[in-house]
Amino acid sequence: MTVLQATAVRQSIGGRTVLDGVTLSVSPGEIVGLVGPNGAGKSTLVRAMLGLSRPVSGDIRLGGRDVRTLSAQARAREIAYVPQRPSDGFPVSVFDTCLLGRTPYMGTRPGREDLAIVEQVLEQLGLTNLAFRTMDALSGGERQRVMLARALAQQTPLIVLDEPTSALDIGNQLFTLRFLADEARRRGVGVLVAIHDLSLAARFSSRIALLHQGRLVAEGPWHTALTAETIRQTYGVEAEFGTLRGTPVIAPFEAVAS
Amino acid sequence: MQSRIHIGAASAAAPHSSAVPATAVSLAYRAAGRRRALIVVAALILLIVAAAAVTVRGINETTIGTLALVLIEQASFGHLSLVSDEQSARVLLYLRLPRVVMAIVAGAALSVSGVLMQAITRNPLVSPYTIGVSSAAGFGASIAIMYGVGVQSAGVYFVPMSAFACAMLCAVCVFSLAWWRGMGAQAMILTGIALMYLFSAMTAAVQFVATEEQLARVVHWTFGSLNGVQWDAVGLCAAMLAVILPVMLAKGWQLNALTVAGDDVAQSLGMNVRRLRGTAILLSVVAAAGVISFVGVIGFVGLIGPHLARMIIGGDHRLLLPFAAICGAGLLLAADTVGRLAFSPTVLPVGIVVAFVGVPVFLHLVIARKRETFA
Repeated sequence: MTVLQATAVRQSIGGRTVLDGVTLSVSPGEIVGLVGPNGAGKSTLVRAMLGLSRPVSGDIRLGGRDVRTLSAQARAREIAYVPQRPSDGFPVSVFDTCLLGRTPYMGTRPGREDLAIVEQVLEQLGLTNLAFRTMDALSGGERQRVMLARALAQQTPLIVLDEPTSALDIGNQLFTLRFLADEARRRGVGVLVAIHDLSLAARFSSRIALLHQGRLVAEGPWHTALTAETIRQTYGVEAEFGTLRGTPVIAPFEAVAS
Repeated sequence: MQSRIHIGAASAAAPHSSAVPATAVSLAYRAAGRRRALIVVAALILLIVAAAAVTVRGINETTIGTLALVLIEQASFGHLSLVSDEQSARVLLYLRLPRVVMAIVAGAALSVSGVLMQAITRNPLVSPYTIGVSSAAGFGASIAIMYGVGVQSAGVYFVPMSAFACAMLCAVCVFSLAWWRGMGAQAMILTGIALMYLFSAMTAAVQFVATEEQLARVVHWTFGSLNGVQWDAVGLCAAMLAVILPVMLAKGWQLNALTVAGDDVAQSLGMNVRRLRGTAILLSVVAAAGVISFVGVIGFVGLIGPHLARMIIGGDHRLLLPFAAICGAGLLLAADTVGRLAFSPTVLPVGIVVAFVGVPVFLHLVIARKRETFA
């Protein structure tokens, strides 16, 4: 049983093939790290899964059901989305922002249950003290944490994150991924995270999917998917591998002429 | 604590399966919501009281009592005859009241229009004025005043209709271009400013060839004025607002998602973002163009009303929409009252006064808040 099963997904934008037959699955309790250079098709794949764009061909199933047959509300109960960077600045409270995550269940009027869920999610993410601050008064890291809380409040079996850490400092990057890893392990949420930092990807992902020019180049545990060879082919970079207290460190060392 | 949350396939299938007691933060959230709703109600009461108070002021001073009697008389459809002072009654009924009610309706409609435009573009600089709708309406009115004198059959609605048509044309240009270029706020503002200059230039060209009398009317119209407002115009605008405000209020939650989380997240929450945008754009433009067509160019309210409201009550559109309407109404009412009474018996056009009243208020709010924010 997978929470996400994408099969042979093809997508073209403006006549250019962006995804060329990508097959990828996410199981409950699993973090899949989606890596690859800029323009590899990571965001396009994420958008196709969310139903934000319709693939040219291929099949995307959420919880075993074809995403095309799901109503918008049913889809919103299956998959939650955290974008790359939250929009800055409308003065809406943190609590109200998180409550947006309850929309697929409550419509526009929150019940006691909805409020309680938001309250707990805020506490989980250490945001309780900020509950009544407005979004425009928060730092970038805090705002991204609120967006994560909003996705959690949606209570979906699958969370998809599009480079959630790229605008964050290293502390917030670690916090976010550690939190996601814990969520996946404790509650069996499936997580698909597009990410640039290979060390973080290797450390926190159960599996790595390496995307290059719209194709899945490698897939599997990090040490099989991320090798000197695959990194040179896809990123055009000589990388050094090492371990620090048992966690993998992948350092880009030198760009190679392609 | 954490174990009470069930994330996973099971809870997605039955989201309300577990009853969880509300605690401190939830209660505080409810209380904050009630407090802000109370502010909205209090502001509405204040607006009504202020409206009554300024209605009786002017060259022909009357009392609140007379006003009340006139209103009761009207409410009884002529069954009662209570007011002895015929002249006061007529002044109230045909001069003051339509004017005051129009100030409220026009201010509210422009402000609501501004809130909607700012929400869908996620940009604080967008307003009926900055996307060119106001000056387009000005041009439409100018050519109608110039060349419509002979068109008797079109009647009193010829100028508003022409203004409305031009305003809608301008809005269609701006929004279709922005749509084509991916709905960027920047493209929209730049197009709007370009069209604003174009229509201003064309209005100036019309003025250049106008006769003395036509010129006076054109200039008067472009200032924006509530002089000689008739009940039928008030009725039309009020009916328009009475449709637009509830429709958009029902979409307040979706507007929150759009502004604070963006299109993609709103869509991932199951919302139909295209329809939301389409509705908000159409209604905001109709509201602004409709009002401007009758009262002339008073664009500033559409920019300052939303900002004022957002600073006081925050960005939750479920409360922001009604509160912005009240703020805009109060602002325009205050401006028109100052315009009427400051140099009485000379009446200053409300469009001029609203800038004099609004700019200091706006600057104060900007300076008083130290942080740089959207609001």
